Amino acid sequence: MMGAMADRLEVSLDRGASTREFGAWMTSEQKRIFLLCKRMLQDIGEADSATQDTFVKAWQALNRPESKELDNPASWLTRIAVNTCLDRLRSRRWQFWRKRPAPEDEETILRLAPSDGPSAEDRIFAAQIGDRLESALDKLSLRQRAVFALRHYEDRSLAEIAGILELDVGTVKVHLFRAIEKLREELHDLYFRDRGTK
Amino acid sequence: MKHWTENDFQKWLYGLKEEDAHLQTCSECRTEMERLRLARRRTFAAPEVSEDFLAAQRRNIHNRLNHPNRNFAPLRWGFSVAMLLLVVVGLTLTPFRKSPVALTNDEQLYSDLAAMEQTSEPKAIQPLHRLFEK
Repeated sequence: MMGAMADRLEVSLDRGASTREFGAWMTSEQKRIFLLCKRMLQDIGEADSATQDTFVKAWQALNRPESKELDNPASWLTRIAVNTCLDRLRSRRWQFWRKRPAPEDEETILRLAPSDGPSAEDRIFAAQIGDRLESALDKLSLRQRAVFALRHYEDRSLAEIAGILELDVGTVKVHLFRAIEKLREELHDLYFRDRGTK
Repeated sequence: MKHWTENDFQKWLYGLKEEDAHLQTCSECRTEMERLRLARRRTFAAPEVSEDFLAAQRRNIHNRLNHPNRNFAPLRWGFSVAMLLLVVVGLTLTPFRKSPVALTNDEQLYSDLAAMEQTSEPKAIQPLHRLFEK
């Protein structure tokens, strides 16, 4: 499927990416990118803007005459999204007056996943610990946050993360190790809550 | 035989530790590993995102793609240049106020000094002289 998408985009590049092709691709990637932005920024409104920026940047890059063929459009798009979020997080440091959105607003946009997967109890627990974990991401540096989000939520391999963030694998490991150290308490509750430690 | 610790399992979950020989032989640790795999999968259950929200977001993106020139940067530059010109013109047209002419220039100072040298009495005594003249 990824190959087909890459082919479509390559064809599109030849004649200037058509809005319809791009729209179809956007629809398939939109939720993933939005959730990634939401997890990195922890703010629905900002995640919405960052998602829009990501697709607008992708469109502009695809329509540039000097744009290259894409081996992996999903990773490429993820890189744009992560960089967009990192830029926003950097500029956020100056926005001390920024207000967090009301939790009710989030609830109307995000709901628990339907019950065809884990049990209801598991889902509620996952949602609770998920919220705690997402809040705890504030403890991490920007790079650590990006690495952890890509590993934990997107289950990307370390090599993929290195490719997306344009870092070497060793650096990714260091960031991830430090992130895990900082999130030790939350991760303990996530994985080892219902058993005694060995 | 040393079992894997919580720390080892966490590192393994995040790709920072490889499976080793102990895991091949220890059923207890393998069971724990499976349990953790399931626990991890639970957290992947991504929340559902409202379809209305996603549709509105797509509309916004399409709007931005169709109207890419909503860029106010040239307007901002134009405004800045206009303000600068206004200031320059204002400064040019405003008549410079001449600085007050010094009441005593060097020539006057020298003549005063010369006069003081010629008279033996200070100037301040002259009014007293006038009193006695009457």
